[in-house]
Amino acid sequence: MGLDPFWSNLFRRRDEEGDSLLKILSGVPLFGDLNRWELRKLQGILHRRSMVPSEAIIREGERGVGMYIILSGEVQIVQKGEDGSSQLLATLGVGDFFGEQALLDDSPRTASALAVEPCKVVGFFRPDLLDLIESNPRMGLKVVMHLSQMISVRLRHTNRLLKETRIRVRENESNSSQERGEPGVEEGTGLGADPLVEDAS
Amino acid sequence: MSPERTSLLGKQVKIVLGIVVVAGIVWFFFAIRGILAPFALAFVLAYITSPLVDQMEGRGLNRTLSILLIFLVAFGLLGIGAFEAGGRVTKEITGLSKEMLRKESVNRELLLTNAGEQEVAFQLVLSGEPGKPQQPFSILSPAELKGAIAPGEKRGIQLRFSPKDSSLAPAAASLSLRFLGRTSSLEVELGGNGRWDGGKKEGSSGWEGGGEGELKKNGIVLSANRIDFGLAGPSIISRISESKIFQEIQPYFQKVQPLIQPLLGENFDLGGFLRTQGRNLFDIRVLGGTSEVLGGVFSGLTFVVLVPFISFFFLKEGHRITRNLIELVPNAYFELCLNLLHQINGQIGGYIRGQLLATSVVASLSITGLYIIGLEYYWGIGLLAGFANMIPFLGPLIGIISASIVALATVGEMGLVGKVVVVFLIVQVADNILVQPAVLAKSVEMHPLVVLFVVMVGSQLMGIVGMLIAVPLTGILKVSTQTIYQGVKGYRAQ
Repeated sequence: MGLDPFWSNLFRRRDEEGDSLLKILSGVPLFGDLNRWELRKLQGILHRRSMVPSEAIIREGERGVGMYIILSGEVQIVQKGEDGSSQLLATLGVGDFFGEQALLDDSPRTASALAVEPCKVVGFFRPDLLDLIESNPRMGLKVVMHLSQMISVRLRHTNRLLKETRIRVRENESNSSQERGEPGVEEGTGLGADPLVEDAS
Repeated sequence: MSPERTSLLGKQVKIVLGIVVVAGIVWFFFAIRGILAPFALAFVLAYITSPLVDQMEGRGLNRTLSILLIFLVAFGLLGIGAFEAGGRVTKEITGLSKEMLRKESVNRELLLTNAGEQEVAFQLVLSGEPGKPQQPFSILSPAELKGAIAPGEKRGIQLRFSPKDSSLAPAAASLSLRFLGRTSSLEVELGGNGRWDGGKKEGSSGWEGGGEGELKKNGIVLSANRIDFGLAGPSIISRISESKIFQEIQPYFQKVQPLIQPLLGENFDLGGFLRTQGRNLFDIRVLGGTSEVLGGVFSGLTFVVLVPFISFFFLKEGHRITRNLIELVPNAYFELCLNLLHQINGQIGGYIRGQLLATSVVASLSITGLYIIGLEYYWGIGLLAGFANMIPFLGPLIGIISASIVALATVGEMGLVGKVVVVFLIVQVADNILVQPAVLAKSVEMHPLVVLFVVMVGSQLMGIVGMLIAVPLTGILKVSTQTIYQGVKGYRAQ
């Protein structure tokens, strides 16, 4: 029988994972420019959590507060389809991270993250980032700059995917029209022009 | 039992258990509330200085060193001045509250018992100090001072101490129980307004009678050989109502009285009304409780040693304590709690820091202004005005009224009252033009009617302390409700 998810953290052992955590943190792009002293300081403001199998770390639709970095175990990112079924978007392992958009605002999560097996994560949350910016602006700026760059990369990637999808949709509609003997498809039909399609993370 | 029913039962048990635990914690803190004052003050000091410590630590300075540096500046350089000022302020506030809360009369009961086997006839005689014709002591009962007491009978003798002299001069008298038909008597010493300084009366040869506090003779036992009535005398309100100012106002009031008689009633007495309402205004629950709290916090040892000691650990370990407490929250509610704490911190932090700035400015200006015009108790009233300014709407009124009452009671001239009003007008203008705009930007956002309502509720529940904490507490409740509602709404959407 697994641990009760309501009470599991109450009896969690506090393992000594200082150095391995530092190694994992230094691999996260968000903290790429932080020196050793800054990473140690960052360690002090992260929150360690333990999850049991099938426990939801974040839930789709819930207002996000921060991001999580996986220390051990596996996490699946799933999204609800229109028919209500769950679609697997990604499987993440040690050193991977998710939910970083919540560091910027409290928009609803666009997907859920479920623990596949017992796993340990550390959370880095918006209130702590804001406090960091107040108390140590230099370090806070480094984190925010990298966060902005990551969001920018995802946005470009999403825009490229959207462009490719638009082209495919237009081609399909054009082929269908030709088969039916109708005139060609007008510009701008098929998909909306909004480039900000929400990403799984 | 089906799995669903078992799960529901388990959930209900958890909810009930949670409520019991929370109720237990609340009861525990209520039970130990007497010792919480130094911890509360230390917490407030740590909360105010924490951002400064965080910034110093952010610039590379070790946290402990940052805290010690701040303590050196704040407590070291200002400590001596604050200690002296704190001692003076405590003396003024205690003196002021004693003046306001002084009872006009104190009653005590002396028990007379006939432990013998025969009836004893006696006479009660009250005698004051030689050369002092005004007798502050009196016998309320028995009405007949001569009587007899049967064997085994017990009787109470009601005594009253009600001095008319407002100087609080020590008073002494002697109650004699003279045995009729014999030459012997029992003497009970009566004292009030500090007649005895914790020991024997000056010039006394020692206590009479058998047993501590008892007098015995001829089978008669009196329950005390000495009664200390404590402090009593005309209160400030009584003195105001009998003062020159009031005598001057009375004729004008009498001219107006027939017009408002239907509202006031036939036997309305302005002086009596003022005395009663004035006493209600300074009810012990409002001002006396505050004096006790201040006495607990501002006593020299507490202020200088205990509060900095606790503040140091709150500053050093505060973040860790908060994190450890948050880590106890289950995963499902963790983000919600974190967000909630952040919202509360944001609402309250700015409010507290801004209000403290406003309080410092108003208190400094008030103390200076009242000193210039020569008002007695200027330290106590100035500080009261500063702290009272934190109470929306009513705060400035409290400052003006307190200062005016002290002016009337001590000097008794309208001129000084006028100067008091001018001082407070200047202070309020400075506060509203210079300080409030800076404070308001970070204040709790609430409709003025809501602010007025919660301040009155706070006053009803906890007096002045309730009025001070009503607005920030309501801000906490408001932001908590909003955050929890949004969190639960998002969770239920799943």
